[in-house]
Amino acid sequence: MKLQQISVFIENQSGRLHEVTKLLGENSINIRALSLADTSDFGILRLIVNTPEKAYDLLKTNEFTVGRTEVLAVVVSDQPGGLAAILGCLDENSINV
Amino acid sequence: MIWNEHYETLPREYLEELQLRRLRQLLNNVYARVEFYRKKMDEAGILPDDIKSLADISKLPFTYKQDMRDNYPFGLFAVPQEQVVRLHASSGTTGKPTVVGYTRRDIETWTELMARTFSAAGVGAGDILQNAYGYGLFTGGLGAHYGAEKIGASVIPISGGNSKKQLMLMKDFGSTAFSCTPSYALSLYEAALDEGIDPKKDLKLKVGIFGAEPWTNAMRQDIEEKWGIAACDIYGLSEIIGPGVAYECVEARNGMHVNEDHFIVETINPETGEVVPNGEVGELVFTTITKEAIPLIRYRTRDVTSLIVEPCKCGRSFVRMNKVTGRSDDMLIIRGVNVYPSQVEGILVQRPELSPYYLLVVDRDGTMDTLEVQVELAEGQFMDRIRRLQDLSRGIEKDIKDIIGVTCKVRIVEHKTIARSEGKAKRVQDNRKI
Repeated sequence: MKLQQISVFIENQSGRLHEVTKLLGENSINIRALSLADTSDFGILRLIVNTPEKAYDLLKTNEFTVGRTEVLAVVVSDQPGGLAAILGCLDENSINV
Repeated sequence: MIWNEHYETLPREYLEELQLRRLRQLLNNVYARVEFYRKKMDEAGILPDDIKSLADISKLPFTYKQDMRDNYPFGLFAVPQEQVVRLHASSGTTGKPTVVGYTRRDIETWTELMARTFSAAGVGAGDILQNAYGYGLFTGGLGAHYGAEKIGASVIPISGGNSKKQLMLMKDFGSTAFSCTPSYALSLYEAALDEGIDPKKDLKLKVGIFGAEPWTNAMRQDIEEKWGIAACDIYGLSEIIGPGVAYECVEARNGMHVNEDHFIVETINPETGEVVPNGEVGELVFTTITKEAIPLIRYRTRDVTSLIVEPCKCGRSFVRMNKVTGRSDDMLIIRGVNVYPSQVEGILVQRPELSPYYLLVVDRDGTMDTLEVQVELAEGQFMDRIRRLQDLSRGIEKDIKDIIGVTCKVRIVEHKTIARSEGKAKRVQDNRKI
């Protein structure tokens, strides 16, 4: 399934992550998945939300540095070897994750 | 000690007579030989003979750093190339340096001025001078070197940096004087402590000659107490001749004597260009009345300070200038390197990923100046890969180091975090207490 992922550039300062999540929460946007990559100066927050269009526009109008990318979502069965089965399939077809 | 008693204590009336004679000579010379000046004077409707008194100098047009840039590299030279025996250059605002040339006589003049400087600081034959100004295109190292040799001091041409070696030689050779930037003097002191050297007990230093960047009297006190030396200030800029334009005497250590037999100094209002009364703060303007290779008429230094006309207790008759308190343009001096925000901007605009909004934050960490360049990502240029962002900031850091010559840290910040201004953009935040 193809999904929109929202990425937000945030400086590494206290309260910044809270501001993003608070804004989304106040506008009834639900975060389904989240990952955060960071350095000492800045981080990139990647989000999968229920209404990506709305989230993107909302963050943009609130002057966050925000980007959009298309990602592939896969349902992983919650059992030993679940992820490996999917990755194995990609590997056999020489697709790098 | 006064190196050149005759000129350095010349009564004001004779000095002013000498200045006028030399000025008129200079004007005739440049009008005949330098197209740039001839054009400029023609445009202003003024001929060399119209200058009949020293006060008439205010009728002459100014010369700007931009003029040197426009005539890069040798357009302002007033002598044929075979008479130029030395070329120096300082960092420019656009990547191209500002070039200065010297005839043999210019080098002799410069040597004389630096001999006066060292003598005034109490250095002479028998002294061992460790010269930690950088040698090379920068005028500091060689300028100090020639002057110190002239007075008969034993010169150690160690150049800047390499603190461990500096300290080893200071100790083993028994250096009695050293010259460098004031901030390096402070960082060298810390290195001495790390090496287990107590400057007051283990070294024979008695005086330091410090310049090439602005410093305060509080910093002077700090240096004097830490090293157990007298710290003398020195002023110069390569366009005028290099170090030795003005120098402090060790007796008073209260303002730098301007070598008025070679330079006419004025202080002006940088906005209107009008001469301000002596004692009032203004931009320093110099006219080089003896320089041969590249004479400058009313050169705008952009350094802001005031002149002291009251006689000094050392007996020199030259007017003194106070420490430079600021700039009338936006140049920064960071660890002795001249940095213009426009140079940084020139590097940033080459990257489409960035917005035109940036801020230079200057601070002092211990004794070292630090520079942080904050810049926003351009709208719609968002990258969600940390690696790319890091490559971007490191690439800028490298370019700034290579082109401007200063180490900095680049911090990419969020959109719209740098203050927008209605009028002139604020590009610099200087947190140094100087």
